Amino acid sequence: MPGKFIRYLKGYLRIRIESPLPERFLNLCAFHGIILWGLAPAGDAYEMYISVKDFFRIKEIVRKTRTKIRIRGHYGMPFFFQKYGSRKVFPLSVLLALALIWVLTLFIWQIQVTGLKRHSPEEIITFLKETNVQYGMAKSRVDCQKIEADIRAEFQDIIWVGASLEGTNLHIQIKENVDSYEEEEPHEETADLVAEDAGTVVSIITRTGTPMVCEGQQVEKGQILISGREERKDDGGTVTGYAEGYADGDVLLERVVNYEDHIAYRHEVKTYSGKKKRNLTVRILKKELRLLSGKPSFSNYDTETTEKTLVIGKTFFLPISYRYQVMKAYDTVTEKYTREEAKDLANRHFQAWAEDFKKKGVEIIENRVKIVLGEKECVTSGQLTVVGPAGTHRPSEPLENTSLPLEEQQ
Amino acid sequence: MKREIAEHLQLPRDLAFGAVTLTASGDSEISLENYKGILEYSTKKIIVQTKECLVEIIGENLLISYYTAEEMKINGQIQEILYR
Repeated sequence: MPGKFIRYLKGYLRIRIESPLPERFLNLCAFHGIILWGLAPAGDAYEMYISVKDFFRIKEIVRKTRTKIRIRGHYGMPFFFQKYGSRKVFPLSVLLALALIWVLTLFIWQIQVTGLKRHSPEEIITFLKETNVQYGMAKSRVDCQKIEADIRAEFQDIIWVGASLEGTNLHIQIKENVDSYEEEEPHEETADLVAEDAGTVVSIITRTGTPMVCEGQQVEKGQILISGREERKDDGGTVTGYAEGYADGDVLLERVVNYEDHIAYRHEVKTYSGKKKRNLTVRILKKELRLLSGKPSFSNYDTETTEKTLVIGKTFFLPISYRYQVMKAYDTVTEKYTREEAKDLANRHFQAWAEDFKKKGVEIIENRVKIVLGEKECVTSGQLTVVGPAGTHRPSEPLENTSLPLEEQQ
Repeated sequence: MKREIAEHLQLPRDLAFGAVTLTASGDSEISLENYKGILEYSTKKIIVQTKECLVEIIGENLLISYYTAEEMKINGQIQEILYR
């Protein structure tokens, strides 16, 4: 029993047979390997399906059994094309469409990068472009192993790369080493660590250089905390020279910082008027077609952009994408905060500011910030005592005859 | 003699004697193998010649879904299967 699809592909007929010996006709057909299906008695006759190929083989059986045959219907692809064949455009366009789809499957129409935390997909795609892996390239030219090796070589913190072709999509999976700390590049210049602000030293840990302050000491802004210069001593403990370096260490300072925030009760808010301007850009292959374009007639507007690549199924990305922009006009209207609203907002501003400070490793130990609700505005101001890192690097000042290597000094 | 040997060797009957194999699924479908041909066919009765006997299938709206030299399938409302 051939499959339905094969039967459709090859074409078949519905025939009606009238015969004094219908059973003999059926048996002879079976004997000669002619497949009949959908046999049904229809009055004095029988109707059945037969493939086109077998239909031309039953001539002899028809003669032997004195059977009359009438064709009741034509089915399948050959007849479909015969019917529409006269309209040349139709089969031609079907063939052309199939050919086009086939050609399109030979190229990369989407580069998908997943698993990123630190880097952005654009960064990877831009890098790939430099290595000639880009949108629209032939799939046969894609060397997944080379892509993997190139990415690993370029980005040191990427520990695993998997590149695979899925339909017309080049899928790059990446695992970054999120636990690794940023490796600082070795510093060639010499520098001191100086105080960013005035304050009291709470703790000092020196990794490279010479500590210049001690715990509990008051320091001024710009004062050297750790010097990049290290003493070189001989066996007797006499200073024989200095080695210049890049000061490194952690110095925690207790210092006072000011906070000030003004919130005016009268403020401007956006109200969308409902006027919209739409832009539609279609990208086919590498060309962009602007279907709807033009500048909006209004001056104040927000823009929402949607971009999408057309895809058949999950992986057959087509080289057609569109960008749809809606520009929404707004007017600015002056509104007024109530005192409570202003106070809430001031609180939120301060919390956000304090959160930022905490992220930098700064601890607030005393808070003397107050919210004052004035006539026209809400003012939040005051001082905070904080403890945190407050060192910055500054190039060392040259010291004559001190930075000579030890050997030369001796 | 042949029958005795086949039975002794426990050969399947359809292989040894070309016995008809009939598989009925409920009362609406029958598959037949090992037959010689159709002797009679109407919507109410189908008689099939096999090597050993005739198989008569009686029912309503009987339709031969497909018919080849090896196998045939009958659909319809089957009421009786007779061996003659």
